[in-house]
Amino acid sequence: MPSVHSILNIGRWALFSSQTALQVTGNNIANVDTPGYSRQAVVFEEGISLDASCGQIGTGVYAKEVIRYFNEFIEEQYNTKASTQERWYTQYQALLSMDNLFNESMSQGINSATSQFWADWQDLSLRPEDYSAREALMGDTQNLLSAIRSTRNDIVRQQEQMDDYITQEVEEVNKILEEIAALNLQIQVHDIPGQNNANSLYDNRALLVRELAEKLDIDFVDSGGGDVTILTKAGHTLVDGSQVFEIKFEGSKTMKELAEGSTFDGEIFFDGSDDFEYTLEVVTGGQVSNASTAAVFRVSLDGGRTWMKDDDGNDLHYSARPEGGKVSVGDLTIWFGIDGDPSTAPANQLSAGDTFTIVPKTGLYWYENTSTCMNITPQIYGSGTDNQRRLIGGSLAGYFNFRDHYVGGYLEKLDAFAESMIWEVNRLHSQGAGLQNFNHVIGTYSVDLDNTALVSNSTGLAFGDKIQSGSSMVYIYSASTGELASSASYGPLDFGAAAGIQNFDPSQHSLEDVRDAYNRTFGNFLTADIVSGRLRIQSESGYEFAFGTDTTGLNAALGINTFFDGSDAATMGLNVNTESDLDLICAGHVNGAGEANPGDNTAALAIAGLQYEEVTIRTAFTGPTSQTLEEYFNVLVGTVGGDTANAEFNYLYHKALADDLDARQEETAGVNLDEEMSNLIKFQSTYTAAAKLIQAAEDMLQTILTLKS
Amino acid sequence: MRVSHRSRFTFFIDNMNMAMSDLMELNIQASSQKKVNRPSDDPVGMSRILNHRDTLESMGQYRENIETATGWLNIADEILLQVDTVITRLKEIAEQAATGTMGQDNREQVSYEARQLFGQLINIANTEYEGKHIFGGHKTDESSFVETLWMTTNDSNVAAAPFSITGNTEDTVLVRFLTDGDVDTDDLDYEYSLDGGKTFTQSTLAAGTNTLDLDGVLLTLTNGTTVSAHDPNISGSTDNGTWMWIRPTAQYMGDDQDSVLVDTLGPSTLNTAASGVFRENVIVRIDGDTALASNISYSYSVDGGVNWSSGHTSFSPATASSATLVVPGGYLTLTSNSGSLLAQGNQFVIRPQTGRIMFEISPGEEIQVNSIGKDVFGGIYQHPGSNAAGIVFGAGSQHNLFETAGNLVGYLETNNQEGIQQALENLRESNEHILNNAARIGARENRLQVADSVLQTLEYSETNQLSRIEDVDMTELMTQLASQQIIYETVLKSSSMIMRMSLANYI
Repeated sequence: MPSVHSILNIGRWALFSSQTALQVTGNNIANVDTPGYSRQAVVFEEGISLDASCGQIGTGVYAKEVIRYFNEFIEEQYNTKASTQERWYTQYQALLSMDNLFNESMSQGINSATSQFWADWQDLSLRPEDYSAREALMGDTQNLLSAIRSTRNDIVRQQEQMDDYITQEVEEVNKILEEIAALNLQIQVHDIPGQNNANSLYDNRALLVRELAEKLDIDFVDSGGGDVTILTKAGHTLVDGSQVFEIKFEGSKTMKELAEGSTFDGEIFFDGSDDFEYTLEVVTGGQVSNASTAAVFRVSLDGGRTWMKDDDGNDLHYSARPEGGKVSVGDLTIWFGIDGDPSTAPANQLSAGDTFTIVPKTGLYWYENTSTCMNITPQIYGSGTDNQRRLIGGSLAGYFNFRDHYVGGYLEKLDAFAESMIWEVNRLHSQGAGLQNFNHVIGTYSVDLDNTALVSNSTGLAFGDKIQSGSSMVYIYSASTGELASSASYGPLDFGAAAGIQNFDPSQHSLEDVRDAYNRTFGNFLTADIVSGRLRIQSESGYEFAFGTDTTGLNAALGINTFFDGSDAATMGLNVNTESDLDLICAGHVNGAGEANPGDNTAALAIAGLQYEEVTIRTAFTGPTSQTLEEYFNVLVGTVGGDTANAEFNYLYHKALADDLDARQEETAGVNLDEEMSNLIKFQSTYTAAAKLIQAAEDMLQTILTLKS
Repeated sequence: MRVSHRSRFTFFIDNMNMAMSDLMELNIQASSQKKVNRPSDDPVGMSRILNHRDTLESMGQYRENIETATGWLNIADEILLQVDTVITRLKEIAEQAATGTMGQDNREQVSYEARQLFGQLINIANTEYEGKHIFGGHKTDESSFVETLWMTTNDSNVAAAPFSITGNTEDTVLVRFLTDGDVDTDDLDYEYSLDGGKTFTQSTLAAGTNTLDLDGVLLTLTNGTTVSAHDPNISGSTDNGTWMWIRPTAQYMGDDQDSVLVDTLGPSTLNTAASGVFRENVIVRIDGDTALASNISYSYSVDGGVNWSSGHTSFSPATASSATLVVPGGYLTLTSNSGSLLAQGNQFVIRPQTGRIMFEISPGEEIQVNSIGKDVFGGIYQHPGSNAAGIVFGAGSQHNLFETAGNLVGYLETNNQEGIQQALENLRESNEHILNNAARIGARENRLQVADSVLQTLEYSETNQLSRIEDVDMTELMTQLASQQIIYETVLKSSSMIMRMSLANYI
């Protein structure tokens, strides 16, 4: 039997519902610009109907729950795209500064300084005895050196800046992970689906996940409520419900993975740093020793996809040495020791298949627990594809890729450019003659081991691998007359005590053998000795010496009679002897008569000719190429521009996709003021109508009450 | 489609930014007048721009090289013309003096002019360009020729043996032996005249000595040289004992490029010799253990062992005792000596004497700008390492200008008509030789001109190509600017229109 009270009740519930709806609408309007806010709405549900004599009669309405409009499916897609977009955006922004650094469109730089350098050698060939030509060459060489050095320093500064950014980002990521885990916990407490939706907590979490996705690539696995798992795309769990796994940005590490059955008990050690990870694989088992029977390994810079090759395309093989015979591989020196004691050689043999990884740089690690970590530093293979088992998205990937792959690659190439320039110029210069002879010279390149074959990669000699067999001509003059001291005071060095003149044998001759060769061949006129790993030659009183054809490249490798010093962009400089004495710039050569004449421009012409000479330039990562030095640098500039343009393109492309997804989410979750406005009017009138209903019920009650009196 | 309040404004701002940034890009192009303002604008273009710039820069340098080379060659050209003028005058003098109608006094008179002309020739041959002697090979810092004394003799015994002269004289010294005999063995009487044969001073070269004292000039002959006595009853020097004229000549002090040395690197005992015209050191490397008789495979390098050209085999037919290896500029001959085996890794350095100064006038193309003075003017020359000077081109050569002119002075001063006749003949030859050299230099000058005009054309086309990649097309830019302006203004207009719309305006 329907009663007036039930009408009052219906009115009351209708009032409450409209009021709730108005409040939600108001909240929507108020949060129209709040980031992360999703539009909410009230779900009305019809009250239960009561059986009455006239049949079922409704009991009004009640506000069942407040829901939020949010498309989880699009959000997941958006986050993936946003990671990619952010990665390219970060790379693009960082590369813009590289683009600027290598921009010579309007200003002078390495390219113009190199041009000037070759022009100066041409000028010197026109006036070989002219000090102003020599002075100009020196000055312009200094310009070139400072252009190379400052470019390199700027690049390195950018790399260091990346380290700062990465540190901040990692901190931020860990904080976000904590917050998400905390929110998960709260959601578990507050959320009762279909009744008490924790809308704002969900909004907050979605916002945090978006922030996280901008920093690294993630998968979001939602099992309902607070039970979500966030993993990196590579599968490393970051958040599992309320549990958090940390990522850390840490210094260089080495890892080993032994082949099945290997009993190797040592560790790998290294000196130096590089932007690439070195993967070493033992190809021939054996002891760690300085003997020729030592184990042999090969090296990869992209996790074992491609192996470092020599100029002929064969894998480069290195021997496993203890600390006393460290081998130079790329930018590192590597040796084997035992855990905690680098200077003791391990007792057990290395087996073929044993693999070691050196991360000679700061990297990103995912910690499964406090002791077990995995390397998730982004890595790009030589083919340009990403290592899918590492981070591949987000600003972190962008920073790492910029630091290691892009800038690391530019640095490698700049170093290779400098290295080739130094070697090619020195090789020709060391066979020339200046305006005066030497009575004393000391090499600029030093070796670590005086008695080890110079070409061995254990000597630490920068250009040791370039030395060939042959010999080196030396000419000795009387200091007083300037003529050859005697008919026997010139000729090739004799590298052996056996009869006849023995040639230099790269596979066995050490610095000590070179010293002995000088003393054996020209002991009457000069004395050679070794001073802290460098060769020193001093003439006996009354004599002077000069250098001629050198088919070995020994002089260039030891830094004798050279123009440049150093072995890469960072260390490139002038040979101090040449720098301090303009006479020692070699424009001429010792001719067939044993004379070095002031008008001779042979060496200057040869060096100037390098401008158009295709030389072999190699980096550990890209292998050898044959180009002129200028072209090589110009291609590097093009590469920087191409990388920047490519990053911009990718950024814009992925941004368009992400923006579209964001817009689609916004379509669902965004607040439309016009809509809210009409809702406002709608619920306001509902409210008014409900109030009218109550008034009507009241009137009815009054009517009934007046009946009584 | 629902359009949320937030996305409406995001769109407005995005669209305005996009239109504006396109405008700014065009603005940068307008201000720099360049299409490529940073490497990322056109990465491939930027590489090409830098390559073109390098090429342009080096072309500028090559043109500067050509200019300097032109300076060298022009002055050489001019000088050889001057030499021609001097020779012409010398020929006139010789022609007059060669006739029987001219007497001793007249010859003496013209001899003064001849001696001055001789000095002038030396001065001319010592011409410098930018402070460098252009006829001295690589020895640019010292005089290419110095005046010195030399001896001419009618006696082939004396001419065949080495001699040396020290001291100095203003006039030609005429020496005649008065007794037959051998130097060092016999006491030899001789007489000499410092005034062209008007008066003679007598003296004796004692046995055991070989130096004639000629009043300030010391002439040392080789021991054992046979001399014969002069018969005063016969006039003239023909078949009349040993006569010697100590007269002026010029000694070449510069560089020559006559010989090529070969150094052996490694334990090979073979004898070596190289023939040909080598511009630079050539290194030959033996690539396999082998005997001379078989085909020898070898590599060579012309840049000090930096690059090797490999895969060559020896020139056939080889014999058991010698092999010939062809290399750039000539060939290397190996002959057996204590064996005839070669080992892999044996190297030979062909080391030519060099005197050419080469300038690079375009990539890989070089031109010689100086000359080897002795090959142009002759004179006498002492090879480095040898202990005595000798006549350039050999005794009796007719195109040795300094020797010819020196002899002419000597004969004029000593009133020797026959000698003057011979000198006149030689002067013609020498003149020819000088003109040949002038022609050679002229040809080089022509080559420079051609090279320069080629470079000019290349420079023009490089500039053109650079401009095509780098420079902005003004018409296109202005059109783009205008259309971009319209786009931007439209975006502003439409955005502002929509921005104001709201339901709130009507309720």
